[in-house]
Amino acid sequence: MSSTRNCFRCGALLAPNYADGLCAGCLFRDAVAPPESPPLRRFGEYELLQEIARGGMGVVYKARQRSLSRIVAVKMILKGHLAAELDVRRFQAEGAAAAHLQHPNIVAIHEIGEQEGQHYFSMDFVEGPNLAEVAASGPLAPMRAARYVKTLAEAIHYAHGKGILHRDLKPSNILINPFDQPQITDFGLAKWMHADSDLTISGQILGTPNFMPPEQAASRRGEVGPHSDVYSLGAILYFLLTGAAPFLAPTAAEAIHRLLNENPVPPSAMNSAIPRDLQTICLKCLEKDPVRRYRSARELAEDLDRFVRREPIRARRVGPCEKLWRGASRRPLVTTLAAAVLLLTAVLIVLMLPRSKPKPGGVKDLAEGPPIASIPVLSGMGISGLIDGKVYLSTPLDGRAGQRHFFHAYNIQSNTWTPRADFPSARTLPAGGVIQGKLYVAAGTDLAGEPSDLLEVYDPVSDSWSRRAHLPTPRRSPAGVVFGNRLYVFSGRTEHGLSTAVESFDPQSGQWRSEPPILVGRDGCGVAVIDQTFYIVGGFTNTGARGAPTGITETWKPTGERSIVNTEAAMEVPVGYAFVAVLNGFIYVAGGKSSDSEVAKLQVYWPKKRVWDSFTAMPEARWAGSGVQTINNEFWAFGGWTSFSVKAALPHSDIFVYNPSRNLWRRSIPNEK
Amino acid sequence: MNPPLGYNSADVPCEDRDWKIGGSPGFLTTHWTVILSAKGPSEEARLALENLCQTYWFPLYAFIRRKGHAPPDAQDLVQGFFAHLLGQNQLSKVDRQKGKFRSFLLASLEHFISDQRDRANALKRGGGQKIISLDENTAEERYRLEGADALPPDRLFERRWALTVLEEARLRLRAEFCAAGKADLFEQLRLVEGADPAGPSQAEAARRLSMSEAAFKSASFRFRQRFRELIREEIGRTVATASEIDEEIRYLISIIG
Repeated sequence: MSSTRNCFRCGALLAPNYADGLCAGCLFRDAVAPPESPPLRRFGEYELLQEIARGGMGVVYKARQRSLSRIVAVKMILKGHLAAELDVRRFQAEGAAAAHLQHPNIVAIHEIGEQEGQHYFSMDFVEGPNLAEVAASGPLAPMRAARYVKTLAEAIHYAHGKGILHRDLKPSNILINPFDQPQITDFGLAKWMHADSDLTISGQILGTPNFMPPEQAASRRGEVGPHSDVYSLGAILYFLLTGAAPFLAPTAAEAIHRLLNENPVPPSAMNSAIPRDLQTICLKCLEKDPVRRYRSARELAEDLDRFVRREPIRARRVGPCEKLWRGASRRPLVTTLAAAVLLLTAVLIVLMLPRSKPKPGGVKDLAEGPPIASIPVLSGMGISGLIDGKVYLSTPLDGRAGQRHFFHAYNIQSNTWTPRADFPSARTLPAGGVIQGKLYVAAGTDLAGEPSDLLEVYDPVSDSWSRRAHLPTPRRSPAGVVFGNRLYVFSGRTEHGLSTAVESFDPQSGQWRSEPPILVGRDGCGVAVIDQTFYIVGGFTNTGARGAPTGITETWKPTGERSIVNTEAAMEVPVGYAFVAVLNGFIYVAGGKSSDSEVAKLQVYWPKKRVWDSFTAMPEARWAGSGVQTINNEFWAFGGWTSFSVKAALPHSDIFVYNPSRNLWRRSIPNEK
Repeated sequence: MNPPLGYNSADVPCEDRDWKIGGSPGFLTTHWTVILSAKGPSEEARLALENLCQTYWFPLYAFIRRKGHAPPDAQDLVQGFFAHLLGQNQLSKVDRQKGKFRSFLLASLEHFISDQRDRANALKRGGGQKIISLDENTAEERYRLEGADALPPDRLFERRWALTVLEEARLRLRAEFCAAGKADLFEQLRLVEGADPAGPSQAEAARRLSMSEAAFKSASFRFRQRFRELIREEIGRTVATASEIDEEIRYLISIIG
């Protein structure tokens, strides 16, 4: 008996004897030739189609990667075989630095290699103009400029977090993709912050003077740091607002002289439409003294965010007295008395300034919000449920399998954690959900490392656990969701391999019911319900955590209706063991584990349009956490592991909270050590 | 020489079909253009037409059945039509402006049927002869299997035509794998690409073939790529110029819906 099949791309029902997995319509659509330009030449597995950029060191081609039939950009050293050793090393360093970064606003590197003696790397091809071209016809609207630079600052902060400085941020290195999102490219001068060697020749100035910070222009290499990229971001903002770089001059030498000795003309002097706050933000970035700039790109992003949201910004305007003081500080011949008076004035001004709100020690919050206490223990591979304003969270000791569980309740209102009765069977990565005020926890891996068929229920009123009917199919790391007062358990790994089984539990009857199976068995997948349709997302489809996760989402209904969601719109980075939840009709998939790394990415699926998109990534990569809850229209991810290797994986106590309307994350206050 | 054309012809074993791969690519010389460009009776054009008819008989059969003719009549009408088409110097009447083989064939068939008031006429015209290899049982079984939808005859004809294009491209793809001694690979690719929940995973298929998963994925990609090319080639056989291929594909997409 043959089961029904659907086209794996569009979901159309296929005739019983139809020979292909794609329906006829999709096959014909594939066969319509796309308009293609003839290749310039073959280069390994790439067909170079068109030269799209050329700089002092490299040339970039639009190319077709034949094995994957996709359009990419290939960058190679201009001098090819004749490239000097230093050039090759610098070129490789660029590729290596950028390849280290996975961020929606940084052009992704695919491959670094050498072909016929020619060093190259391939990266995403971004169809769109660069920022210099966008602003070529004149200044941008202030709000638009602020949004671009805010996004760029977030991406640069991410790079800084990875230990990488860009050092050559300028409008021509920012590409605007078809979704009007800026993407940073050209890490040609990138530097590993903590590396000893710098691939510069003594006395050589790298970077573009117009957007370069003074410390870099003056070759004060020891002073170059994240604040240097902050300067360049400010210079880009200046350029977008005024249509000109801060210190234009006929020659590079003059530009550097002006950069080191003059203050920039205030943007509003060139364009009166520029809001005062935005100018203040811009000029704070352009401070000669790095200490006076934003301390990090994130602080800049936050202030721009405040501006965009029309909230008061943190940066303060420079008053006339301070301006005078600064002028004096650059002219040592000013009289001692005047200096003393000005110093006193400046000190008074500083003392009277509104200060940033003091933050608890070491908190790295990205967005403002009520403080959240971290989980009292290291937490991973656990389970959580939200009942009456409290999150009940069970996690094995140290977040690892084979350990006793700790069970706590977090009171959202009072921001406190309270120990509750420990989860008796201590199963890791179970499936669970809340039905009528009780937390149901099914399956998972037991203390002996075996797939479990247990179902235990926690009742917060009596603070006690009780055991209910066994699952028909014992399994590790299934996905669970509550719908219509039933707990549904999907897929997971049995002792025989991946399971496609779906079972649901009805607390009223106390019985399990076998449901129609899903199409693809997965380990560590997520499940979300929107409009009575279940979406099974991600998960490892072969050999558990050591294999590769799938990016294909499938839909399932208790009626047996199911299909593979358009494979063209697969997840950008397929993951398993991610944090998955529904908010406002979107499926949010945060973090997880890809085939080769832990992931911080926030991937969002919009079922109505069948598209995936990426939003601001988690502050740090996390996988195999202790569940996710939606609280006050925010996405709360509890605990989780870092490190790709299971053996070296570290559990964490943090709670990362994502606010969709602000597209920002914040994190809980770390526990004191 | 030719096996019965079942719907899922990929199941036909390699050795069961006399494929002309390499030295004599029987497919590539039978373009509709050969027929269109023939001036007067030409053996080459006749062979080309016969070859095309051999491929596209089923849409005609489905059309005739949907018109209400009983299975034996439909078979005779198809054979009679081909006898008429191939035997009476019809080629010289082909209108160079008519465009696609699909349109030509359907228009000719409709004209032919209107001339055939009864089965006796059809027989007189050549019914009963086997102009093309047409397995009666397979034809009817296939019609029943596929003809359940209530499309009008001409829409059914076009829909079957589109599916026949894919079927033919798939047969040729398989023939190429067979010719290269890679029938096993084709079979695994077919299973993996077939969206069958019971089918093997890529990893499983690769294991069965003792290949790495990466090599299998790469073969899978080439499989799709080649299939796409063959679909275009097959459509190329039925249109007058290469520039019409995309237009014809778009038309077939509109038919499939």
